[in-house]
Amino acid sequence: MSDRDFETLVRDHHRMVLAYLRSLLPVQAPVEDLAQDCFLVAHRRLGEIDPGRDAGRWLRGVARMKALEWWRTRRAQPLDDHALAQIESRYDGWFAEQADDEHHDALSALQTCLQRLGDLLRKAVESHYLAGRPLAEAAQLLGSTEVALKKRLQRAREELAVCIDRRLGRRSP
Amino acid sequence: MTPGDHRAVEGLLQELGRAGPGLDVSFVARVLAAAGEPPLAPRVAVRPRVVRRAAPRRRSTPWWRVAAAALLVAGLALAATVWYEGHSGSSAPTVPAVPLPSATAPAVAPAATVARVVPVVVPRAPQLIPLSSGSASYGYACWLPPALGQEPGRRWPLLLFLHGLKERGNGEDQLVPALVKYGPGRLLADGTRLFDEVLVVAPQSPAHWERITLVAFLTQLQKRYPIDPARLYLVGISDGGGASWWTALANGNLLAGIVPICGAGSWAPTVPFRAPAPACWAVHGADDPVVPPDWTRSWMTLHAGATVAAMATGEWVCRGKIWQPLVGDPRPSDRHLLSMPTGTGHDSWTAACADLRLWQWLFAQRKNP
Repeated sequence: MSDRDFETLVRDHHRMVLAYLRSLLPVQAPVEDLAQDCFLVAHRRLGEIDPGRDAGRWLRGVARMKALEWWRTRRAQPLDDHALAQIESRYDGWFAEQADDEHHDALSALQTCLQRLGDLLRKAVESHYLAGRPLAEAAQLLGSTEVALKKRLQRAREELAVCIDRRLGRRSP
Repeated sequence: MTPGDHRAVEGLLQELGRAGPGLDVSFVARVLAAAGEPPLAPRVAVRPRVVRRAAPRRRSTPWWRVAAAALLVAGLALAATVWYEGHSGSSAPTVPAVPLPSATAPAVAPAATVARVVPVVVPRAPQLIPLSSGSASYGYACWLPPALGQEPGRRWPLLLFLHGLKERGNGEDQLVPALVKYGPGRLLADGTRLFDEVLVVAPQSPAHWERITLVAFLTQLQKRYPIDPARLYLVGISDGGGASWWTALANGNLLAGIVPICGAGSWAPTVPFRAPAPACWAVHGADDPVVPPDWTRSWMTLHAGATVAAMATGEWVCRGKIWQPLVGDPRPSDRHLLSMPTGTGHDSWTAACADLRLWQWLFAQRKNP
């Protein structure tokens, strides 16, 4: 595999791998290092991959192993198998090879869906996830309580998942 | 929805929040740099390798060589002085001098109220730090203040200029052609003295600007140069304007002032800036066919906490939560300024960068305590 092919692989999939690892881990600090590890494995072993296979799915497999290893070294209980399967199922649909176009993946769909959220939910998402405010600070800013904000975020995530599915032409699992 | 589904959406949102709508350039660069190396132990942070040359061995030099070298240097200096006096006004060899297009560019405001940047004679050549040097997240051009190093302990304001999407490049040989097309790089190539007291840095990104990388880049610059942390300014056009907004939204406490010019992005958020927000003078062509001017109106509404009228054009200032037409020069205490010139299309930066008032106002800003 040439360096150019590898660069294309990284460019096509790195944000998906980062998002996937964020879904699997309880903290964000190790995400970038683990993602780097995934692509280093890919660089060593991608010659072994059948070109007909979905490289994104293969990378998620590596990322999952790395995440589980991270959990093990901390002697903590990782996500259960059902949750892992749900996450994988979502990403499988959102980042399928045919949807891997720059303009039709889940991250670009998410940006469009965010604009269609109701004002209350959108403000909640923007304060916490996009402007990076902790829950307590975001709740104070929005004149709400942490509990109410958590509920709003939960509703926002539900609406966003449905919207992303719809935009990518997929049915919710 | 199951907890797993929630985690899946949460991962996407966290990734979007971390990088903004852009591509994580530093990540790609780091992985590509790391891939050329032997396998690494898990979770060892991989950083681009900085190549350090061994210091040359010192040898004793015969006295006659020293004397001959001194004579040669003196002769060359004399010849250079004579040549320069005969050619003052010519450009530095590394940066092509391009005349300012201010005479032909549509004005932001009536000509009588706008002071233009007048080119003077001594162009400053940039110091080029390519990406391959491994010293920063981006390759960049840097214009050091002429008096840098003459006053020990002095710290200098930093002006960081972010280019638009068309000027993307490899951060190596494509640095100079892209960065002297417009903005401070162009003014400096023309010989302006406006930035004599400012450290100007223009990085080049290979893709969309990315907030986290920009913040890391700012930290790298602060370690390398004597920068005044209370006077960091961010000026960006188009894609760089969008990055200026996002950086100010989440990391505004780092900056003293921003000038987003026709800032592009996927959307403008609706949550307030994290206090203390930097002072802002936003510019956007009212008839921009590329980036909707309403995005800048939305951002400015958010920044000032007062709604910008939907069809506002011309120059505006927000004082006491009330937007009013800007008459004359802005005051240094003005924290929310908006220019929406007509007739410029997407290119609202040419006239804006040639507006002396903008730079004077910007360099008067200090970070909020």
